[in-house]
Amino acid sequence: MNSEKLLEMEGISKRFSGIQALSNAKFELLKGEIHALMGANGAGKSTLIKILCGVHQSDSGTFKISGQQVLIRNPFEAQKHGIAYVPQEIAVQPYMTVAENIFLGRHPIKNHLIDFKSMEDLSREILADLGINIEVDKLGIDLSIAEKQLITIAKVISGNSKVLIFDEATSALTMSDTEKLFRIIRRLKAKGIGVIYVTHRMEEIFQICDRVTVFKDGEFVIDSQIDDIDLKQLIKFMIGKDVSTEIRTDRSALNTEILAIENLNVDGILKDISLTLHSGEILGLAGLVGSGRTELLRAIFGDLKISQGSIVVDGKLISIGSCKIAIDEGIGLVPEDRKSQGLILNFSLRSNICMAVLGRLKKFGFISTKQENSVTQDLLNKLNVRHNSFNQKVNTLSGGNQQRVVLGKWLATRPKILLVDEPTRGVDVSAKAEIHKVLKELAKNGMGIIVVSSELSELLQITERILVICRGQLVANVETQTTNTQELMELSTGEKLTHMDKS
Amino acid sequence: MTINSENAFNKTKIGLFSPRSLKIIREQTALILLIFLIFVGSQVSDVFLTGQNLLNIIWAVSVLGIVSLGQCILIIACRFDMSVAYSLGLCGIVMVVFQNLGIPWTISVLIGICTGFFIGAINGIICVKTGANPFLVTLGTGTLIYAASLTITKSKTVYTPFEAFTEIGRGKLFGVVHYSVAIFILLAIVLEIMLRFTKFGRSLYVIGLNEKVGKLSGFSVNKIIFAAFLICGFTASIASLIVTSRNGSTVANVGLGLEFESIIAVVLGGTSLFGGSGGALRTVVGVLVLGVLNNLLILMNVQTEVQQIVKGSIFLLIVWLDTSLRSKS
Repeated sequence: MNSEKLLEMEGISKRFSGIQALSNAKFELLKGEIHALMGANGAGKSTLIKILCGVHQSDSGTFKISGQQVLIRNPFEAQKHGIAYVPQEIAVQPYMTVAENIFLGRHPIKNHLIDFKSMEDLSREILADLGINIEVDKLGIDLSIAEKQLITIAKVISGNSKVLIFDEATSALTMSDTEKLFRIIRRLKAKGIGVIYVTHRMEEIFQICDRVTVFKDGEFVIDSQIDDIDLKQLIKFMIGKDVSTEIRTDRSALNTEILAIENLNVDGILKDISLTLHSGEILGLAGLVGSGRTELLRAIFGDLKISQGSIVVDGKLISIGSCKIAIDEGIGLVPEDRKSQGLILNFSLRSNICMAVLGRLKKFGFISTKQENSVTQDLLNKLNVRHNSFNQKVNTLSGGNQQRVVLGKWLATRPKILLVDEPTRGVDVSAKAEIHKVLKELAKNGMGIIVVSSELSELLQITERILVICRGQLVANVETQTTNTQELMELSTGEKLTHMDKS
Repeated sequence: MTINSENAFNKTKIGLFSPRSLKIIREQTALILLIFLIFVGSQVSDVFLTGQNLLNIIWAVSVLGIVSLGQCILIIACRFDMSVAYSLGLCGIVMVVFQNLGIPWTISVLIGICTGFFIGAINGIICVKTGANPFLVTLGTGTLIYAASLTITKSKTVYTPFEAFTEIGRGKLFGVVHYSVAIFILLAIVLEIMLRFTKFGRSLYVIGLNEKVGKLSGFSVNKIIFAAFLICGFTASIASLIVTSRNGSTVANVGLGLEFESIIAVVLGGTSLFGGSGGALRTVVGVLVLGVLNNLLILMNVQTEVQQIVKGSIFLLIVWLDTSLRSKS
């Protein structure tokens, strides 16, 4: 194999407003190599890729292309250096032909007009070169997802491309389409192009990659040839080793069943979900991004239309047609993205905390500021939110405090069942510990809680039982005491076949 | 480092563009402009500052003002009603037509107001059910309303047979303040209280800023939007009542241009076109700026063409100031 180094990145650090996304990371890519870049969510993969593509600039570190030190200040310069990026979202214009899509923004010009003939000829050449068999005058809207994916590749690749980055390229593809994509990737490899491959699907790495680099929490963990590593080791590197030190709550006496879901279906997203939740229980829901975990919470909360199935709260069969009904039935949802779903950022602390309970704080039809203040005071104390006044806008708070405010907003509704999506995303360690403490305390006082988290260690720390969801179906129901991060990871990637009965 | 920045802060504190005064300028651009215009008025004309002239100014803009109040409710929720101009025609036409059929004018007024509610309901239902852009939907319904008005009146002016009916638009409360001015101010105060202190008011702002948060917080987004359209239909019918009784007659296109003028007044007052901010009293200020400006230009005998140039320029100036000051914060 040709061992010429295409890319050398060393000592790369990047800090975003208070969060160290990458610290002293390194990455290397050889000519004709397919190199997997792995890590859990938030490990720093996408930051590194954005630095490569010129979207972000690193704070420190050296960056060489073919042995030459370079400075990439914007995506255009990255392109000039031969770095091409195939995005996760497929961007094909529906009402343009394949040729127009390929040459979008760089149409060949003749006599000040677009030269359609040479555009189509060149497109045919590019497609033939990649071994793609699609008519160049087909409209974008008539293409299958896999074809769109291939067109996207044809679009970003050009004569001087040396490095091709695939970011979750197969997440929307079926097995056979993925195989097609792999053939093309191998073809590119044979031409000497270096490929960086990012995916959540672990099995693919062993199918196609030569080498793997693992990041964790913004730091470089390991760089290994694929043959020298196995799946278990890889997952261990991605998650960290201290599995045994994880602290779990004792499974206290679980009382009554407060939520029972039978055969819940949401068209095209969730299939035959059945689960139960007891008062005083913290139930974890593990799964990859896009597995349907967030959608399950939204369906229970009335934010997604349920096509089939029943939801029983406190022994009473209810039909949850809207979030309002869910709130009235004692269900709360702390959504995944506090900034776009949980809070109104330029509203005050008070308005945010009282938002879901305004109906209760009325006096003669008007909102009572006095009652608002007492609710706010109560919750801010309970959650230990540092603040100057109730009128302070929430966008002046830190991420951890904002997250506590969202939690407070939902505690104000006095829910029996609390659904929590990513309770500690982007908050610092101490705030995280405190949020965990609050959740445990709530459960102790009889609340039933379902927690979704990408951080498996978080689930292991605070839950009593964990459900695993994969491609819209529950695939496992495990006692937290008896499982570990490796098993959960294998279950959620669909690596490990499950012992769960399909009843 | 900290000492330096503290010094810098103290220095800028005195200046006109210190963070604090900048904040006031940013938040009250229209009010400052209004005071400035009134000051200019008092300098160029002796009659400008008389109580009678000031009342006349409000009287002249009361119809625009009432329409703008309804528009303001929708804009806060990030919606628009482009059909208000034609509702202004139809509601009045309905009143006058029923009067000519021999129905007492008081009943006809109620029917006219119901027409306003009906138009609001139709706009609301279409927007909520289809999820289509309210701007386009109401442009469409506006055209249909106009067509209805033209059909009913056969494109002619229709006259009220009741002298008493014209009293609403022409008469004065206690012989001092025009009824229309009183109604405008009263509506503004009621709507301001509603916006500030009720759950419905709060939910309009939330929906205007982020519908998702509103929905997840348990607001019935559709019902709220529907209600906002109802209010806008109602205010348009009240404005129609005033303009019709003032004129003693009405015509299908009596409100021509009011849809844009009302949006201009609302935005001038400091309500963001993107929803989630502003208020009824702010809208009153915006309307008054337009009114005072108009009055001044007439008092100064400025030609009609030049009047338009001045109005357009002032509007652009406000928009520019607003945008640039916002980005500085």
